[in-house]
Amino acid sequence: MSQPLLHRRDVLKLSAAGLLSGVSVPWFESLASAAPALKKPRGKSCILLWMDGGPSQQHTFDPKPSGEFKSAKTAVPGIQIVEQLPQLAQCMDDMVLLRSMKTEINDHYDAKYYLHTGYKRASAFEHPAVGCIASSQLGLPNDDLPAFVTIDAGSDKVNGGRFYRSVPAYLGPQHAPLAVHDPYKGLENLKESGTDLVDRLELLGSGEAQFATEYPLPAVGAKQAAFDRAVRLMRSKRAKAFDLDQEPKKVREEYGAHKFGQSCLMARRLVEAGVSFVEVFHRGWDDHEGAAKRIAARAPWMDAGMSALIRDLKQRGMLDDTLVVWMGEFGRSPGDGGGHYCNAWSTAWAGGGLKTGQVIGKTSETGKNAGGTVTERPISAPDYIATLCLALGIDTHQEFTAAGNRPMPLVDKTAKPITEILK
Amino acid sequence: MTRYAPALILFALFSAPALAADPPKVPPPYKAVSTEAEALARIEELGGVVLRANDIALEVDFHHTGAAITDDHLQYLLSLKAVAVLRLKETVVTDAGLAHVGKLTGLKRLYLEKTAITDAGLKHLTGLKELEYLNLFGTKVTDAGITQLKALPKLAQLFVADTQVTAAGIAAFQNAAPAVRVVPDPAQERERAKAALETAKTAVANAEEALATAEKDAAELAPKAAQLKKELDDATKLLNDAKKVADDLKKKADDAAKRFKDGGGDKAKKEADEAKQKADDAQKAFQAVQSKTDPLRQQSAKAGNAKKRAEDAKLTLEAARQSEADARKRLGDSR
Amino acid sequence: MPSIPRIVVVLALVLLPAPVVRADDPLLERDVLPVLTKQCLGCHGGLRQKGGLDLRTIPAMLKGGESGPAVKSRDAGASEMWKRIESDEMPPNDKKLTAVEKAAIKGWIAAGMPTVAQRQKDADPLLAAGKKHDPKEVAATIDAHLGKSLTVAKLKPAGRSDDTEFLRRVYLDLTGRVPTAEQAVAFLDSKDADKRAKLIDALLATPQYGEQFGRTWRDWICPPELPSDPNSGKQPNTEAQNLGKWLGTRFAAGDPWDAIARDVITVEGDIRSKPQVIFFALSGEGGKATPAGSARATAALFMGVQLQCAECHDDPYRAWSQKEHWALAAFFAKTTGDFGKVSEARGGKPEVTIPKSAFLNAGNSVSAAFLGGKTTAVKGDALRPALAEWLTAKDNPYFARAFANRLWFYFFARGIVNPVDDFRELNPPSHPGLMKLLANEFADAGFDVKHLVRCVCNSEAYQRTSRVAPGADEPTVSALTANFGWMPLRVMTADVLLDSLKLAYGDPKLDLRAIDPKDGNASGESAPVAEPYLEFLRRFGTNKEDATDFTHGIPQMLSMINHPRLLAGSKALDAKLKAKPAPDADAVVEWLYLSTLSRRPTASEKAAADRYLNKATDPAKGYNGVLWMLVNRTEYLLVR
Repeated sequence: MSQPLLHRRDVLKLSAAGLLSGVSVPWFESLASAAPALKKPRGKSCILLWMDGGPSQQHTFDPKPSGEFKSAKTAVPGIQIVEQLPQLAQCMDDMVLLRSMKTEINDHYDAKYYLHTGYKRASAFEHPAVGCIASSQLGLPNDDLPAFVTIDAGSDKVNGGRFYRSVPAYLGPQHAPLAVHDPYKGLENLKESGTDLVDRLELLGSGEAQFATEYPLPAVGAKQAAFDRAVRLMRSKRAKAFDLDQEPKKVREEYGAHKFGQSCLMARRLVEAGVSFVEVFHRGWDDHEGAAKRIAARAPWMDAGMSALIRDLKQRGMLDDTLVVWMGEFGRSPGDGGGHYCNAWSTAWAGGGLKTGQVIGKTSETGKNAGGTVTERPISAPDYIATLCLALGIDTHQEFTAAGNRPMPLVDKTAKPITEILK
Repeated sequence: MTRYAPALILFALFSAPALAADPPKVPPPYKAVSTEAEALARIEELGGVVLRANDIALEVDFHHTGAAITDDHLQYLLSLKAVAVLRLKETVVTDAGLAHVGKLTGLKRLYLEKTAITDAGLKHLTGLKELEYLNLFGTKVTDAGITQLKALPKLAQLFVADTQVTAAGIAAFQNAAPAVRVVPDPAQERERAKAALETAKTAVANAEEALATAEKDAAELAPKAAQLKKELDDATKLLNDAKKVADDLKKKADDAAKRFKDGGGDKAKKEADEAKQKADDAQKAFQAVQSKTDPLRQQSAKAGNAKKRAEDAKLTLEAARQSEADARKRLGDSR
Repeated sequence: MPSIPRIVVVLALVLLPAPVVRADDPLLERDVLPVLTKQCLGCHGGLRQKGGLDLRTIPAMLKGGESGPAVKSRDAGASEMWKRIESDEMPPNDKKLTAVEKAAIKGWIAAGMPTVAQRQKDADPLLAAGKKHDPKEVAATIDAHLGKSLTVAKLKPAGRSDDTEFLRRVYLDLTGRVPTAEQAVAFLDSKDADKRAKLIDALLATPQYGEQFGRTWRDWICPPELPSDPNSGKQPNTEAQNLGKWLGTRFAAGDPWDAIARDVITVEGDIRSKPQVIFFALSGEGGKATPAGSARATAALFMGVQLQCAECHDDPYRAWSQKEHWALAAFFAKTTGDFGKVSEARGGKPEVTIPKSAFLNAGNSVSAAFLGGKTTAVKGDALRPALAEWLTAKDNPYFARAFANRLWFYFFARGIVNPVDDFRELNPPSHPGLMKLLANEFADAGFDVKHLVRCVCNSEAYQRTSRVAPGADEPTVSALTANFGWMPLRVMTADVLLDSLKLAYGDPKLDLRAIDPKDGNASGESAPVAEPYLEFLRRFGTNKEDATDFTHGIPQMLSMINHPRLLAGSKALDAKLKAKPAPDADAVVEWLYLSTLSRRPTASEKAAADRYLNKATDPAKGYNGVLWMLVNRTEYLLVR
């Protein structure tokens, strides 16, 4: 594992700005002893494509002979996915399909929580979401850009229960996501209002300096640092990552004329600009009336957006360092996909320096309930989160201290990561 | 003892300049250093991020330092023991800077995307015997430039999209250095675009077939829907009656069997056997009716939703055609 | 769940001083148990008792385990525990005790194993219990308590706040918004020597006082992100707001806390007429009341006791047994509740069965019993009323102190016990006498909330400045915080900030939701919350466990900097400008300062504003810019 050399003066800066709450105990101890080297891995970036409501595996990445969608060959001999995703099929050598997810929870919100945190929801305790974990582990402190951004790619219709918001919990509020509510509109309030911001900032500045002298306290430092980061972001060239108009027309078209594709494009721009974790969510995959018709309609834009993302990252030499994950909170019942199904479902991963071009796990191929059971390598939610963290270069053995002196392992200790796909 | 002063210094350090108008950033000029620690400090002062792997190999990231890092500053790297990864993406380094980079003989990954590098700079890299990954995306290199890289013994990945490198140049390079994976790979892209189009076409054909079937059903069965529904209702009534008869007889047979079991003697046995026979017959009759009703039920259901299925099939076909059109366009672009 | 600390306070560890060298002997709870908790109780505590040894209490230590008693009072050398720790035989892993930790253990045994509990028992409230006192007399006694501890710690407390600091603080704390310019001037210019006490009285008589305390308790009862009703997917936001209003009306009317608590705990009926119904569904699971959830919430809010761990097993670090938790839960065994109504079944035994989800003792039945082991025969049909009666009795050990501690936490951003809902032997009050005083006074005053507020707000402790003495180092400031020797800077809650902005902008409907730069409207589909108020609460929510923790980040700062509404002028300012005779620029700037920072500008601030106004294209725009600057000041967002 690699470790950045964060010097003592940075540590002081951080603590002064109140940015150290919730660091792992080992790190904290090393701070106390003023050791120059910090255990903070610099890993990769991740783009999580979250299909909220639970997408049907048999209508996407795990088709069955008896299924409603026909399967088609892909760029990797022996791997087949539905014929509705022709472009993704041609990206298969850069992808890994996990077809044996087995995750216990069939209720939307609890499952979203479980698959975002690796822990089951408890009434009295909050676990950090994976994006916040990545922010705390991979993000550079005090960067212009926040390390975790979410993008709302819209919805077919609002179903699938309450929306899950990523919460940093004990990792500290600086790891909360920055939310883009609409990729076409960019980041809200990023644009200067009024014409005399420079004059107003100057007016503000003198009073601020005076106040900091009279009240030299952490809250003051934290406010001024946050304000400063906001101003720096507004002025940063990197903030252009939020503006899709900067992108050539041809590239925008390639990602598809749909909010999802454009969100994928913004995600690429953000990762390129140094953001560690981007979560794009599209809502409305809770297809109780049957998945075939609905997914057939979504397939063109999903295929276009996600395949364009993979190809684009590859062209830019970024695919090795960027993990793309497509998933929902669970799959759908075998057959028509009308029900929630957590017993045997799929997630699709791409890039990230994984051993790509393979399928992990199997579900039953034939029989009355084809695809209803996992027949090889069941993957639990903790397994999945542990693998994701390891793929990003995050040490999964870290332990944090949560409220009430409660030791919290970053990843549940029962997790068995899928080492077969890690290099 | 730690005083609160650091908070103030912090504010003064980077808050004040940001609050005022953007100040012109003048990076501190290169100054010779004598130790590794000093070099590290200078690099970080410039905004570089240094990472250590297993206490040996160093990764240096200058991405986002923008204009702060110039060619001269790269000389600091020469004081570091072993730099395995160097990220210079979107910096203002030029060919002159690569003269220093070329001396980092342990370098495995080099990121130069979106810099002003040209062919002239690449010649400095020919001594990088360990180099596995070279990113030249969005630079000014050409076919002639990359031919210089053929001799790199360990090169495995080379990125030249968005440069002046041509498809022919890539093919020539690929021929000369088959072990290197060059991206983009226009030939492969074309093949894949073709394959995707084929899949999309098959999907369209399948969707068309499904639509035809659904429409045929709709045309043939929909008018009969009312009739079929009535037939089904009648048949269902018959079926229910038969079931009731069969159930009654089954119960009687069970009672008779019980009487016999409780010691009813030969007479009871005879009655029980007869009752059993009758019950079995009734069950057979019920099954006969059922075997006629089930297809009717299926047909009626088919007739009932034929129109809806046809509409759904239309939507599916429309989507498949969209995918096909996209695939066609992509194939066109890949030529 | 309300009031369960979610943020780790590792930061506090970073900022807290190195252990202050103490003149007195090590104490069990303060000095020894933290070490044992970290190093020993994992194996010799509630969860496991390796070698038959339990180190949670002194009797258990004296009883010892397989190797005999663990300690011998005043003889460390003969104490098994010390011998094994000294030789690093224990703990068996790599993390041995530090020299400081070892010294604490050895010194404690040598000193005869003194405990905080005993000292607490002996603590003198300095004011006789049994009658209600004059608030100023209580305030003086509060200061006497704190004065003693400050002297012992050799700390010099911060001086008295100046009038502008006090004015703004007391308005924000008691009415939940800044004073208007006119209110500020009236107070600042008053020559009345008793004006602070009079202002406290006046503010306690306003409806805004009720509103502010109502929503403060609402936030303690209802978590910031409300769970959704599983049937409709809706979050009971309206119901939560109604709870806040209901509580607010009760507080404003001066209803005593026991009456309010009783009405919450014993409620039956429809949420539309009884907003407190929400308490049960919220503390339960999936929108339904559960006995365990109701018990947990009741304990946390009304008793200051955390039971969540004891739900499944004896808590390794706290004294509560699993059985005690379920005995409390049994009072709610016959309660059914959701976000619509709460009802009570009649008849049957007052007991509850431990569910399967608890991994120990699942399936056992436990009878209703009051926390603390006092068994009781409860009549079958009046479980919750019986609990409420016990809880709100004048001599109940938990009720008065839990409220007093929360009130103290509200004003000082730190409880006398921390976390506020974690009273237990291992976590004693920092000022036992003070805790006793406040609890006694509250109970003796018939749980009169306003009376207790008066007592605290009239104290010197509350009226100290937030300014740090020049040159004070971090450990000194932390020690002053722990000893209530200064007033920490706090961050305005979302409610307080919104109401203050509404006043400054003269806009009761102020809306800071996302604006679409292209069409100028609040963005529809993408706006996370359709309602401006809820969106503001979501965005500007603060750390409920630590009011000094500034948690706002880039999104909040971007809203403040760039939301067009904050640059679009103030209706209150417009009215001011229209006054006859027209005010001059100095008067307007002064008025703007008073309306936002509750003080007049300094000479250099005036000069800076002048320079800015001279550059502005027209005066109205200039004033809008000054207002923008003022609400973006750190001083504005904080309570000093």
